[in-house]
Amino acid sequence: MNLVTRTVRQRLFRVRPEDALPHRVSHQRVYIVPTRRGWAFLLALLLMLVASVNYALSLGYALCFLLTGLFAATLLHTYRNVAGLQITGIDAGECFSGEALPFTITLNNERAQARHGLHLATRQSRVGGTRLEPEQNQRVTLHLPSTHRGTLALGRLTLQSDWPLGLWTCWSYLHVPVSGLVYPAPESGPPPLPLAAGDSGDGRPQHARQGDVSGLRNYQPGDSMGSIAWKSAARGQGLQVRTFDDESGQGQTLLGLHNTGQHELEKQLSRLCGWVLQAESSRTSYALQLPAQHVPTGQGNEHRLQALRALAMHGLDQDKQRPESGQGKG
Amino acid sequence: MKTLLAHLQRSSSTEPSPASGSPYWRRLLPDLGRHPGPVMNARTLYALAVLLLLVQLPHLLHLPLWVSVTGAALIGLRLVLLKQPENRLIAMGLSPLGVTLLAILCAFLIKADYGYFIGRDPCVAFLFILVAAKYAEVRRPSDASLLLCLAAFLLLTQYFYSQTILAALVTLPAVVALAHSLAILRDPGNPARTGEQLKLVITLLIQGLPLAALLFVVFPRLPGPLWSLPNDASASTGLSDSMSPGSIGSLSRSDAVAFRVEFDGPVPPPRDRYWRGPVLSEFDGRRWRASPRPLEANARYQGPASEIIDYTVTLQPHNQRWLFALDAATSLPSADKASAQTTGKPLGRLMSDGQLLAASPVKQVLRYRQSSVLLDTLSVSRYPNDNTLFLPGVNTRSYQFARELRGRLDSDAAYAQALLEHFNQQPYRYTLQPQLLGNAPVDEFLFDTRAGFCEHYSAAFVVLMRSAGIPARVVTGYLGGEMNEDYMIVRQSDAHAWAEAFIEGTWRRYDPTGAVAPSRVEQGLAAALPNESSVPRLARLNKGWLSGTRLRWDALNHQWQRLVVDFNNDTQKNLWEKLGLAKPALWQITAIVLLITGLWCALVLGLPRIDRSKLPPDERLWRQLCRLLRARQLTRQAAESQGEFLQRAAIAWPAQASRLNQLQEQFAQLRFRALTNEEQSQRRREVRRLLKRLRWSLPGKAR
Repeated sequence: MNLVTRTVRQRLFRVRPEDALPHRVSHQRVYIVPTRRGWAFLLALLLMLVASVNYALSLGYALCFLLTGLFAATLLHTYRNVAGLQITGIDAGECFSGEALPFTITLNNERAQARHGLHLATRQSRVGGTRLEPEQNQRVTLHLPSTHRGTLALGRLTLQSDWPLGLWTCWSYLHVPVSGLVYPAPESGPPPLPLAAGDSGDGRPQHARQGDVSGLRNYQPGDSMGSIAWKSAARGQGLQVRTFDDESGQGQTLLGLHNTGQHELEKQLSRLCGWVLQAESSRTSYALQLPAQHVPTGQGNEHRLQALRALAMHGLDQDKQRPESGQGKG
Repeated sequence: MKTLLAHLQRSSSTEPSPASGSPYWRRLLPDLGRHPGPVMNARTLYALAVLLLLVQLPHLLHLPLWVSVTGAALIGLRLVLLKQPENRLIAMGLSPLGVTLLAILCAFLIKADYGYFIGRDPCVAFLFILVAAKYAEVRRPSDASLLLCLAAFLLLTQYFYSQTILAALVTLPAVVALAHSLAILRDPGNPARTGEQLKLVITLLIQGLPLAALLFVVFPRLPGPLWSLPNDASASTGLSDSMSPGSIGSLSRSDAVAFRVEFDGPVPPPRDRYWRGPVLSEFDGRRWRASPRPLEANARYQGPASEIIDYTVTLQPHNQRWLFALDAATSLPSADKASAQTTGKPLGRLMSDGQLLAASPVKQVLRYRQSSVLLDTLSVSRYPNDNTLFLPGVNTRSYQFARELRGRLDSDAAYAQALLEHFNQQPYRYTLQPQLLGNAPVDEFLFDTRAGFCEHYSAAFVVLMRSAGIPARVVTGYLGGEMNEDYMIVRQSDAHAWAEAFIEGTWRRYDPTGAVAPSRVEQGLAAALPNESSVPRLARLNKGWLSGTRLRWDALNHQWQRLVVDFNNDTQKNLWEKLGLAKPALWQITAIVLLITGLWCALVLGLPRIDRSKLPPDERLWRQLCRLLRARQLTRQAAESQGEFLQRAAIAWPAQASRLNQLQEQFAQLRFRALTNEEQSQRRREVRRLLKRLRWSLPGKAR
């Protein structure tokens, strides 16, 4: 495709994400054509005109032109309803694969009149009928269906309205480089979490100690030798195990591709994802070990997101493994 | 960034998207209007029902009763179905199949009722049914486009029958309902109130008005129809080639214009305005017909040239071959100088019975030059044929009466005069509403009913002449004409029939109607029939113009007829001439239209007050202040309070600091203190006053 065609296509259809926010829908970017109903209406007007000409019906002409005036006035109002609209921000959400990925788009109506019946659409999704009050912001959420993990670009956004009479449709394209993150689909009913058994194959200490000793508890079979408080054992207080800050007391888990027992990468990730959710719901600390990334042991919402994002981007473009949410902002 | 783009493109291209099966161009365009809406909700159905009833209303006047009832019933049934969706019988009847069958059935019934189907009237009746049927069948808002288009067309077809002011006024609510239906169909779930939507569509219609008016004036009018449906051809207007009792009487009830005349010289007086049309010499006892094979004659006139009257006739199309001329034509009709076709070839022929015939039926407005002399005699070179003496033997009493009267008189001329006196002295009545006549119409009229219209008198006169052995014939045409500024309008209500008798080698005109009702000849139909309501309005006398509402309404109607309904090719030309563009070229018209359309666009786009929001008054005042300051490059920051913003303004314009502080105080009071209504309005007034002062005293808008 030569340069001219590319440029023309970009100008006409915004095939590449090159727009920046905040964006104001300028008159150059507004397209307006009759809807199907509009074409039908035009055809009816034409027939009415022909009948008026043939039978020399003066009032027929008048009626025909009255409706033509209505049609033309509608054109202007449809245009004005879309032109001048501002898109001030797009916040991309995150979701699990198979769910709908939410993009929250902030629309701003600067003028003193309301805007009606605005539809926002991408190729896969559509949200419609939004009414924008005068001089107000409004947030609209578009849900894109996600099919697999990774980033999901919003794609080209179409702002469209056929207000007031549905005879004309007016739209404008906006292609902002913004994408959301899709985690792998969590396996439903995954096997129990692989509690820290000494089966680590890579020889790394499974219990990398980061925190301070927070206390002692009784030894349970399976606790590692290194965590036993030998000094207190020497004092005859029985076998006790040191506990650490980052440990919830129910044991800690290192999650890795190798202990999923699966062979396919997506299934491995899916199980890991299920485990992460399971661990979070049972308040178990866990660490995530992926070939290219290590998520240290931890627990809590932030940690969960970190782990899920790592899973989402595993094996994909590592330069951009964590696209900022709402990166198009500003 | 590049890698991200690559990734984005890859990810989007691998996604199975719903549109991936559609062609490339389809994917580039937005996915518009392909979402089948929900089923019709009650609001949509009611809005459409109102539209259809308004559209149907004017048609009820001319449609057969059963068509009207069927149309209204279909709408009613649909609304019943809305209330009782479980009614299987109605649901089945109003299914697409049921409705189609009904429409086909109605088509056959209409054919049976009207006798033909391909014609204007039966097609309108069918359209009427079709619109109602479509309404009964339509289930989704997205399917309603066809319904709306059919309704719009049906709205137009009422003008086939009536183009009065009333018809125009009836259309307006229907147009509003049409626009309202469009607004509702756009988004059936929209909770906007009906009042709001009506306001919106009325605003749209009013904004469209200037453009509509422009198009109405500028759109080129064609002089004649593009085509005519087969059965329209027989629906000729005006005089025809036959006359039976009542035919001219029914014609006289029409206001329609027959032709218009511009005289080169002085206008002849009303009693001499005999416009000669079809000459009827064949008689079968009831009906008079034109001679099937008339002979051609020469238009020769040997009298003084000063007697000749030259004029131009603009004939309305009547689908017949007659051309009209005053009394005796002295020339063949020739093309008007102004018109393009100046071939010099005459537009018609003069027949030996004095009538002018065009080469083909007049289907377009025809303008021709004509000259005539005012003569009540027509000399011919040969004796009339036997047809002008033929009498079927039904009117025996008339025959006896004629023989007896003729026997007492010594000349044909005296006999004719005696007949006129007979009509004048016996109690004959001139009326548009005579009783129906039986098998011997002339006998019954002459001796029993003694009440009739011009066709009765002329027919009776001719029968009496023929009974006495004098060749005679009926001449139809128009008598009279109304001067309108510098031209004369001859209407169908001026239609007239008189008699000609061949006496002493010439055809002499006798108008027996004049003997009964002289005012008909002198002043027109209305003067002769002062009390009959069936005389068309425009034929009535013009005296007392502004006395009474009825006459004012009449005047209004007259203006309406002249300015709107009769707005045609000629009026348009005159208008252009008044504007100084005698014959505007297409590019000139286009330029004017584009210019005015551009102005109109600017005006409508600049009048954006279509949906003034209902902000609280304090908020509006505050925004007014914000706009005032923004115009001077001071914009409120997102995190700034009102007070902080005004403080900043006070720093920017120290001279106005006190006013700004006052404003701040007032706004704070309005916002935070519980005030009574009076206090609130007082403070608002104060704010308005301050704003006004501020607007004047702040430095001008920064550019």
